[in-house]
Amino acid sequence: MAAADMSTPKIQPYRTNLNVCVMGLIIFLISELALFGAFFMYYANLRLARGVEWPGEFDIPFEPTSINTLILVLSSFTCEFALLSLDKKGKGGPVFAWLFATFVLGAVFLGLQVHEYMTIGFTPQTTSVGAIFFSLTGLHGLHVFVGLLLLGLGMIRAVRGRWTKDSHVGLLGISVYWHFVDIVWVILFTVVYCLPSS
Amino acid sequence: MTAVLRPTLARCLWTTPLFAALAVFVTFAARAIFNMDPVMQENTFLTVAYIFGSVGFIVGIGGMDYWWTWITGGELDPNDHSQHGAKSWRDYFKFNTDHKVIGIQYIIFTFIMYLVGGMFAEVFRAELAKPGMQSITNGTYNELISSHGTIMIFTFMVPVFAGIGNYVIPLMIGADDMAFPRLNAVSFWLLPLAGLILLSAWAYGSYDTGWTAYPTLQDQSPFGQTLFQIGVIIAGSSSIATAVNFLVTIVAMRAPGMTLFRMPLLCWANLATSALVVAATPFVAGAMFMAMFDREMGTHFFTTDGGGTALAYQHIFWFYSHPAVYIMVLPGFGIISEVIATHARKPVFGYRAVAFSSAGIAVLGFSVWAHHMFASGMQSWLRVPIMFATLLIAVPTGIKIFSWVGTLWGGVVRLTTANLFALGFIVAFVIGGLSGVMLASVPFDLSITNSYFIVAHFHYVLFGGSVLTVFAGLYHWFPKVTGRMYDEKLGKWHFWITFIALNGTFFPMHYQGLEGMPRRVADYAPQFGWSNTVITISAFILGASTLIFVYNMVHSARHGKPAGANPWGSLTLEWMVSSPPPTFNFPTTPRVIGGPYRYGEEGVKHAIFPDEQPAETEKVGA
Amino acid sequence: MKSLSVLTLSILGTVVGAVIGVILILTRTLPEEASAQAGGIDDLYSAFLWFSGIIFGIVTLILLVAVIRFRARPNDTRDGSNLHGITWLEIVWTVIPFILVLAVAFVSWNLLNANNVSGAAEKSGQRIHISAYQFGWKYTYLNEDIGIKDSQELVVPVDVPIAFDITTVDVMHSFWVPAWRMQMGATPAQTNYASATPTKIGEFDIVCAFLCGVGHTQMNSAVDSNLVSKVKVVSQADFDKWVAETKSEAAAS
Repeated sequence: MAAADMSTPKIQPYRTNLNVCVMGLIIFLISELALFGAFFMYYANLRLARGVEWPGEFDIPFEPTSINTLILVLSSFTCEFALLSLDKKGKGGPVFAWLFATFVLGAVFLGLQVHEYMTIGFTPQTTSVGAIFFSLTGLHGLHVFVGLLLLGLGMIRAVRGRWTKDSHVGLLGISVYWHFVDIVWVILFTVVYCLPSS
Repeated sequence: MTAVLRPTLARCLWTTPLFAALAVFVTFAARAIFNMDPVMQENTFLTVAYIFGSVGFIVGIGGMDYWWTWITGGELDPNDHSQHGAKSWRDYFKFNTDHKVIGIQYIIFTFIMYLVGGMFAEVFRAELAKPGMQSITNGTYNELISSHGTIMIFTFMVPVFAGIGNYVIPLMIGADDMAFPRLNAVSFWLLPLAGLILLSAWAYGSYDTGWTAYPTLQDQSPFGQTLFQIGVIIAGSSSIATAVNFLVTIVAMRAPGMTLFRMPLLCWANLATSALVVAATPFVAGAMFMAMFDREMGTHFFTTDGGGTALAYQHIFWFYSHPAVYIMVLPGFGIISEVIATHARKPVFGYRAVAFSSAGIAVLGFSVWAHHMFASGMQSWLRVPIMFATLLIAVPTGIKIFSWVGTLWGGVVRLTTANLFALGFIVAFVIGGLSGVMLASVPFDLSITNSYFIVAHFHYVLFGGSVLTVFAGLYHWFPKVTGRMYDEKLGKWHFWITFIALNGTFFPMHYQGLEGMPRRVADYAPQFGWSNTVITISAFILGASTLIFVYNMVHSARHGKPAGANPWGSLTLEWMVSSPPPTFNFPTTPRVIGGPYRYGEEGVKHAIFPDEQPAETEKVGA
Repeated sequence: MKSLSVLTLSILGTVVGAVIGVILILTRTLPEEASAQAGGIDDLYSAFLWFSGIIFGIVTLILLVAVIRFRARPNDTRDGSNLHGITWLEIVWTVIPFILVLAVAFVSWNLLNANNVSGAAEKSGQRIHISAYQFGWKYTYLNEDIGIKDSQELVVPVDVPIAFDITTVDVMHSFWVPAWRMQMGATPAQTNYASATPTKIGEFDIVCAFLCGVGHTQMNSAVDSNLVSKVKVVSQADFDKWVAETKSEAAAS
């Protein structure tokens, strides 16, 4: 009996119309959103409950960051084009090109953020305003970094011709993740950069 | 030689230090390049060593092997099941993707942590046996209570239900495994890691701030406090991963015909719990990260200087930790529904109401976090709405209790050990629930909060509640897991001693708290002397009763009389396969044709195997 | 017949539960009621014990009777009835607890407002600032005619509403006077408020209720009266005398 059991499982997931991987990823991303939520909760407590001036004596640059926001939003589109350029045979060229474009835009975004950190004139250690500014943007930066790694791995698979029109769950996952990073940034940009105390 | 290259614990022995050393080297280099002062910062190095050593451990045990091959575009064999199922006891120490193996790994590991946490409690109960300071100092006492709370909550109470759910849920819904078997294995192996890190804190001065670890007290603690934070974050990651898995499994992997309202109630309970875990656990991780940054990087999230606010920690922490209370008891509610329906031979009274009350508790659970902070000076306008929401939770909880009593009425009640624990749970949980209603009332709470009344309340809910449900579940599914029966006589001894000792331990605490004994103290006013002696003696008896359980389980697993597929005559799917179940659970896909608790109807089944072989029918019978 | 017997049991359970409530009320060992607020809280607690006792009585009595009456005999393979639920009964046991908790909420809300005497204390009572530290308390009397600073001793006049504002210089503490049924945390970086009207002359324990480090156990006048002194409630005349003495001592030193 035992020997027979070690063969292929006979039961496959029954509801194949629901893609379990993408579903799991979306639930995981809800959980990620809650992690950002913890930091947003601190931020809300700081400003709403305690009435702390934002950003107070510091200067949070608005214009360069809004350009940076556009770059990240653009990268969501290039990521989507990678999915649209899939074909049945798994020809990796166009997919690779679009993924590479996304990667470059993401890297530029991250580079500009690091540049902002170095020129902003305060550190995480300065006050609680500095701490929450750096941890919110830093947590997002970490997600961009992970996204870049995923895009890199997606490119490797593209070169090897593993993404086809019929089988590309992993690529779908990478794009869902990348859109999530983008959406979180839009929220973060609105809250942290666009809503200074008047 | 090959053992150190293949995914085993032996490989962890070199991957863990390798990752830790690399991280320390990179940190050192970065500090040197950016001219940080001082370059040698021992605690920073230890922090990164622990975090990246943990990654190394997961890589070593084999958590990343498959994904690495997949993402780099390597060749994979979809029919390779070499990591699935256990052929000998050694397989339980390996990365295994079989949900049944993982369930057993979970249950045994968490139970070991239960014994460790219990030992901490026995030591400080000995200190509290009579007034005055006995053998341990204030500092050690605080470390013991902190470890007791942390170990019990993060490495026993939350994950033990993940273990039981892991074993039972895929069988109950007719799936061959969880939706993500490898993720499942990773989330188990994160847990021993968290446990080891939490225990290793004792090597670095431990942590003495209670399991809540409020700032700014935690800024004064030695390095062990940082390990507490890392350990909690890792345990939290483990439960998030498991919860994602449960949600997808229950939503997408049900057998044909298994509609939502044909699911056993444990599945409903796990669905609600997993939703809570996914949405709430990241908050505790966030709080821990911020507290860790305060300690190790010199930020000012919660410190008074630099404009921080300690109250924000409490808000974020309890935004997780109150839902966590339901995370620790909702799966228990599910277990009780299974056990009572089976052993009272009667359908669960008001199935839909019980299912919806789980969801109701999960939703309301998010709106009550601040009732832990009535005396913390939080925004005063929050008090009354939070009080109201807290009181409201009594309604769905009451529905469950009344429904279980309604299930018993008119049944044929078999007083097996599993059922005794379920009945004991109802009695103890009613007491804990009623004291909870009292504590929700703000003026009453403000007169006795942070006293032993609180200790009594949450031990009635967590021990009288959750732990008794765990025992009920373990006795109920023991025949399924091992294929053998446990010793009923020993089981009943275990129940009665546990139940009496639990009341002897925790009931007098109500009186102490009302009379003015604060919690977390190593010494107390002389008038509490005799009641503390009673409590300590009961606590020792309570500890000793666990040994009966351990003996019963270990002995019966090898020498018990064979149980057969369905010793309880239960209708749910897990009892329709052999005990223990085959490696891939079901010989053919089951088809669900009715509700899970159709007792008292002649010849009715919950599910059938459409292409049943004659040999299978025998097993299915009863 | 069946529903009738459940009804009978519910009435019986109510009686048993009421008796349990009485026993709990008689055996409770509360500190003496030494403030105007304590009575209300103890009455609320008595009410809680009554209604908890009744719910506990009903649930456990029906549970016990069900287990005894419907217990399986040896080798009993029967099933119970196939009853899946009774809708009206489920509605009843949803609605009644809902009404009960509404009642609890409104009673508590009223009591919370009634117990807040800080307004009266601002007008005609004492205002005292408590500063918590590891491990003890310092009291500053804020009324201008008193002006005592950083006293290690808390002395208050009887029958006068007192408003406390509580801060801490280091970690979280909690200022608890069980005899007044009053507790309020001392949270870092903020001021918390509490109030009470002492009604009994005498000395009462001050307890730190929140874990505050190695000295937490001793930060309790019942455990270590050298580290923390009890609160002294005295008559108005004695209070005036104490104020004068303390002021002259402070002036002399």
